[in-house]
Amino acid sequence: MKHSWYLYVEYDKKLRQKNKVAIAFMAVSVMILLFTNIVFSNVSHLLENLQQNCRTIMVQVPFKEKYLSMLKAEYAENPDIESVEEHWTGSPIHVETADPDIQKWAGGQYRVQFSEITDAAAKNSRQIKKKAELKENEILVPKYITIYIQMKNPYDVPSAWDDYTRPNLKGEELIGRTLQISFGDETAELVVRGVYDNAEITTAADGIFLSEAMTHRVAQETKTESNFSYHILIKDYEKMKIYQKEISDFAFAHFDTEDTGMDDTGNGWLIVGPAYGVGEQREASLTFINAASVMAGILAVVVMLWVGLGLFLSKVKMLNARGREFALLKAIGYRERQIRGILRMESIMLSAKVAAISGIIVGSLLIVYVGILLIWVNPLFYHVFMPRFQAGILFLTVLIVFLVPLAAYELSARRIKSVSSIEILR
Amino acid sequence: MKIEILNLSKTYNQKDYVLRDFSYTFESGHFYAIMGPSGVGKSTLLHILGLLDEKSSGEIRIDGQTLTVQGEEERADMRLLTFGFVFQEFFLNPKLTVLENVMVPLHIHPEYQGKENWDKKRKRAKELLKQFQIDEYENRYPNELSGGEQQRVGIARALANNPEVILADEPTGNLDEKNEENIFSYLKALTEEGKIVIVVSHNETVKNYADFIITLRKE
Ligand SMILES: Nc1ncnc2c1ncn2[C@@H]1O[C@H](COP(=O)(O)OP(=O)(O)OP(=O)(O)O)[C@@H](O)[C@H]1O
Ligand SMILES: [Mg+2]
Repeated sequence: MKHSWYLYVEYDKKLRQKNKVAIAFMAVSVMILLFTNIVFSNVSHLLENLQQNCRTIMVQVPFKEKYLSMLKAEYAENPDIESVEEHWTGSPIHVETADPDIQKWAGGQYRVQFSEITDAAAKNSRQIKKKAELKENEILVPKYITIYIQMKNPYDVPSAWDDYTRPNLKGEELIGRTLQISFGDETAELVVRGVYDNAEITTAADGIFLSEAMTHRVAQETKTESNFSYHILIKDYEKMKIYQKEISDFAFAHFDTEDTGMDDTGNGWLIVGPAYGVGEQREASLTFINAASVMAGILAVVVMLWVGLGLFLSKVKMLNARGREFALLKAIGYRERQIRGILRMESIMLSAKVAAISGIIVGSLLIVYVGILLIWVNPLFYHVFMPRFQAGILFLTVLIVFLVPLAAYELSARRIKSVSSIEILR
Repeated sequence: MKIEILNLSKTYNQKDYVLRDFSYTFESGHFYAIMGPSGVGKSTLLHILGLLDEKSSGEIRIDGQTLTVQGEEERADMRLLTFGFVFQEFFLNPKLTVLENVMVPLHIHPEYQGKENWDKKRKRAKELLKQFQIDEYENRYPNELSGGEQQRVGIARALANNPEVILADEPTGNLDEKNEENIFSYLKALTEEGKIVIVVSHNETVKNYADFIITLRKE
């Protein structure tokens, strides 16, 4: 093998140059690999989400943890139901202030609302550290504030709560001012200690950071740390309607809530319904999954055939066309093994290049295809198998694309034996 | 070196003989021309001599020792070290430069193995190109040379391994008169280095250069 390589490089020294190109080629391929992989795995996740979204019923209720345990007790063991889970949505905290500047920002109106930012929402940011430095009565506000205001019109009828962004409203301007927050039946005076960077927090970026101690007080008063909604994942989409009605009835019967609107404290709020626009999403996702899987499948097969056949044929053709070259080498005194060695190296280099590109493309398509198939059969399979086999599928395809031309070479290289110098060089 | 051929015969069907009971002795420092009509077996004789083809019967002795080569690999090694072939159609590798073409036999020569001998190989090849006055074309590709120049590359390649016997089958078949003379005189010059030069040719010009003329006749 080492000897073959040596001979190959000596035989055609330009190959050294070509090898550099090949290495650059492979580096680019690896980047393409990573890129396509990310893109495709995201597509897979999208598909998976679509699937789940179609089967999710959301129950949004006041912030009492017991509701979750009641829902769990009632539905977790139900064979039709896959899971009952809590989802963070907001906070029970409202901020009111008499600060004239804020009132000015709020269009001359009297209320501004922030919600609390939980540690979970800020978990990857530097802001958690800042939070740790807060004294009990201090808060952090966002650098760029989106304020929720309730506009008053001339007839004195409050409008709906709406998010209202003032581009010029910088958190810094609030530093040192006192805001009043209310939660449950309590109120507290809080001083704005500093700002945090919105860009580092992906959710609830318009909220405030409370100190640990204040968070604790709020939690005790409202019996929860955050505002949850509950997601109930139904196994069979066809049963969505039945369960929507049943869970709705259950919630109205057992949760101490009177209406489905929102009161001044944020309590008494109950919504039971599909978490997403179910009907359309189902249709859309199914068509998408169908189309995508068929496309991916066809593409994978076509590319595979193209690569495999193309390489096979070009190898065979090349060996035929090079009969004279081999005959000459034989006449000079090259042993058959040495000629084969040169050819094998040529083949390996070519296959490596081709495998790096086509294998990755085909492999990525296969990953999507297999992923979709798994989701189709059971999303659980996707979760279990995909992370483990993604790399494997890719590796296998690259290997196969690498081996196809090599096999073609091995088959056609047998012809070298029959290359007769006397006939060709006559 | 002395190559004795004794009662050499070649037949493809045990009935019709291409060569029958051919005997001859080739000796160092001489130019031999093999002549005769088409189909008489000139190329066949050359191929058997150069171990490209197998004889049906007879004996070849090299310096008195009967040649008993067994297996294709041993024949290949013998070809590498003892014989250099020159062809009518040159058979240069079009993907390799002139210099690289001349280096092809050196890659497998035992004296030039290993990375450390790379420069030695180049040096040897350049010397040869110089000897045949084509050193200025060393980086060109064969299709950028005239026929005569290509054949000189062919001869340089045949000589690369420093073989004792040069076998040339119609080396001037594709060349005009001027180039023909040129090639023959280069081949002739090799005999002064003590090589055996055996040339198959239809061409009468070869007689001006040959020390011995072997004419094959049909039976
Ligand atoms: N494989 C083979 N099977 C049968 N007959 C063959 C084979 N190879 C060559 N011959 C015959 O052997 C004879 C000698 O061929 P050879 O090539 O040696 O002739 P030549 O003297 O070199 O002719 P030319 O001057 O045309 O090159 C020819 O009649 C040819 O048909
Ligand atoms: Mg002939």
